[in-house]
Amino acid sequence: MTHRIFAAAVATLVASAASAAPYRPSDDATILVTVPHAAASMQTAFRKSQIALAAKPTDLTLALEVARAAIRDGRASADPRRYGQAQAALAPWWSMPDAPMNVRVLRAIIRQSLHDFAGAEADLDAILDIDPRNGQARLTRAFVRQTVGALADAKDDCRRLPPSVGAIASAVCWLRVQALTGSAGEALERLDQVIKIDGKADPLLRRWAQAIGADMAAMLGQTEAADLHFSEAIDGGDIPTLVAFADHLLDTDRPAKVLTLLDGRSEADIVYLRLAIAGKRLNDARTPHWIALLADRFAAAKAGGVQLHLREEARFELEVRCDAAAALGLALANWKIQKEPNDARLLLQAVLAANDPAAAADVLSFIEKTGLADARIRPLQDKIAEKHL
Amino acid sequence: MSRLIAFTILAAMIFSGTLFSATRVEAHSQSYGFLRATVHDNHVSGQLELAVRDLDLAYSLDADGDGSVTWGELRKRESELASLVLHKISIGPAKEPCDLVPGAIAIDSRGGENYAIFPFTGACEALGKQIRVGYDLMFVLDAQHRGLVDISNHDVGRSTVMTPETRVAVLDLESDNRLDAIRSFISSGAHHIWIGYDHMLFLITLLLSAVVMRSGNMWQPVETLGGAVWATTRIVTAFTLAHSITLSAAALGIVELPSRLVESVIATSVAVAAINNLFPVVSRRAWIAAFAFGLMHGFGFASILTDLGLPPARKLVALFSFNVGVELGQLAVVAGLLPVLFLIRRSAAYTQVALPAGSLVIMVIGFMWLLQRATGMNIVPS
Repeated sequence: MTHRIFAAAVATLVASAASAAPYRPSDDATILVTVPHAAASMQTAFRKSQIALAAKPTDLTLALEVARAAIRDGRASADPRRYGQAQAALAPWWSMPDAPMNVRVLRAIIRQSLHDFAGAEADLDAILDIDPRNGQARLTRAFVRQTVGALADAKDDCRRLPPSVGAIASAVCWLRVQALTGSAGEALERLDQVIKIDGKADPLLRRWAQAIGADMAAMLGQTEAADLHFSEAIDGGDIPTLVAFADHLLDTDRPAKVLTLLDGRSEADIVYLRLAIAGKRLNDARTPHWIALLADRFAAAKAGGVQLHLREEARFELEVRCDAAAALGLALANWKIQKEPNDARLLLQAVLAANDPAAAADVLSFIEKTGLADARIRPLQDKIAEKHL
Repeated sequence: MSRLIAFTILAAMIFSGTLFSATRVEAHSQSYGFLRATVHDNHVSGQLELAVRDLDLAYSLDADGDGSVTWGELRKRESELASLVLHKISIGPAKEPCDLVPGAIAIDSRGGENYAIFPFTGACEALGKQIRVGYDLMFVLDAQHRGLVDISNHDVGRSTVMTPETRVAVLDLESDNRLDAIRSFISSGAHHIWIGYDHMLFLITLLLSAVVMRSGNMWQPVETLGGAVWATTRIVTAFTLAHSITLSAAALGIVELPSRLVESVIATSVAVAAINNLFPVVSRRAWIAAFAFGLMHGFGFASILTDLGLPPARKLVALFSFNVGVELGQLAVVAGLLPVLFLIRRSAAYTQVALPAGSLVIMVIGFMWLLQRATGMNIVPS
């Protein structure tokens, strides 16, 4: 049955082109795709390496170069295609159980981007077994473990980070776990000190630390402090940080700012979702366009069997389409994979919207077990507790 | 905090060198290609759709290197590109696949992204019912690319997803699978009347008064089983007819109504039917109410069908099967309920207690649903 529904979904989607309106532009100058000017030279260099690699696909040095460049851009622009390109570059080594160490680091990163957290951890475990002082691998594993809610293990990795990763990264790793386990206030205070002391740190690192700090402030319900942290964090213009700021703006009821912040900034799925949510709240005329576009993309992902968008799709159903039952299903499926405060919160929101308090049992026990205290989640917990009375 | 941010920094940790701070790169979603074709005995026609961005990655379309791909840059290489991409797909036997001849390419937008459309036609040896499809686009450059394939003949359609691991698939267009599809749509129709409490409650409410007749100010039991069956048949048939009409109209995209309105009217219908049992306005003509509200219930079913997705090649068959399923579900309810109601229809406990009290409860539920659906609040599970 599931299979049949799925097949029908593919068929509907593939055939839906029939109802669209293909056209031949009348003007040769019509632009179909744009690569930003700043990125164009990078793009050219990347393309050159890619072409060279195509001629010699088993050249490991070249393959690593292409994969790294693709991942780097995938990160900054939240572009899932880039991870597929990185994976393709590593194809000759991808299925090797004992792939070279530097391939395994990249494979772990690509796997986590595909939400294969177990696969990512297995690669990192293998690297750390051989080289326990590999800071990159240990830091990556610490964050994978934070994502899946294995906070004690994450803490262990943060504690054992070698000095080579630097003071800020060490502190962020450790303090974030602290914040996730109920001590956000203390963690934020210490994080601010570390940022202040290490004034000469790489600006990218500083921005990252500020973004993490912003989240801690939001966790504590300190809107202004969060704003302040975000103001430095978003300087680099990387999309995930901008999106996190947009979420904070939505949480604090400033949807108009979200439109100014994000409109025209990127074509990423995560960006369109925030535009749709903000647009809906403001009755913006572009909202139906954003909604249709997202629905198209989610449908394609579903037909292609891709499960990367559960979190986004759950929010889409909950906040844009107001389909509580669909949102709850997706939020539950997402909770099986990721266990960050965002995921917990989304699930509790869906539980309340669908009026199905029983579905909250697992997430509530997780919150209790980890001690997570988040001002954005607390009211949801209270509402569910009321229902149980 | 987005996990993405948590990881962003690791890029900097792991890779030295210039950081790519892109402020605007087009089209950030996964890469998909769409291949759709219709086959006849020895002829195939269809189209392949690929994102312009993916084409650029594979065939470097940006001739002047200014960071933009224009229609002119694509158009000038039209025939070369068409032949390149069509060589990467095949339809028909491995040894002698159909010879695909490209048509004029066009542009279309999908998910906010420009796609190039490559139409094609082809002549082949007699194809039979087992259609072999090959798809080997983009995989070398993007291991997460997916090819969504749909092949159909005049009555059967089959779909599959191509991946780097699966670049060839054999699709079985044998029409006996049609029975499976019919069966699956019948069962989902029956399933949805069964779990759609509002439809069920509406029907039950109408049935409650089908075994009695209003005479003066009193409920009088219907004399014969035949009479009760006749009254019930009229109600159920009218309901069926009405919701079949609107279900079809909605599923085929002829009429569309906002779901909040539909759901609210359905809730109203439950309450109204219950009120009619308490203060009868229509007794003998309950079928008219069944028809009128049935029209709205049909729109309610349609939303389920939309979620399931109608296979385009078998739209009407699927629609009909789903309707049949809904009917079977309804008949099961009637068959279970009617004999019981008929047996107890004479007792005072039924006409003076069960009927009014039950209707009162149903009315309250109906109004609560209405309130909930009209305002978006959660009061009772529905």
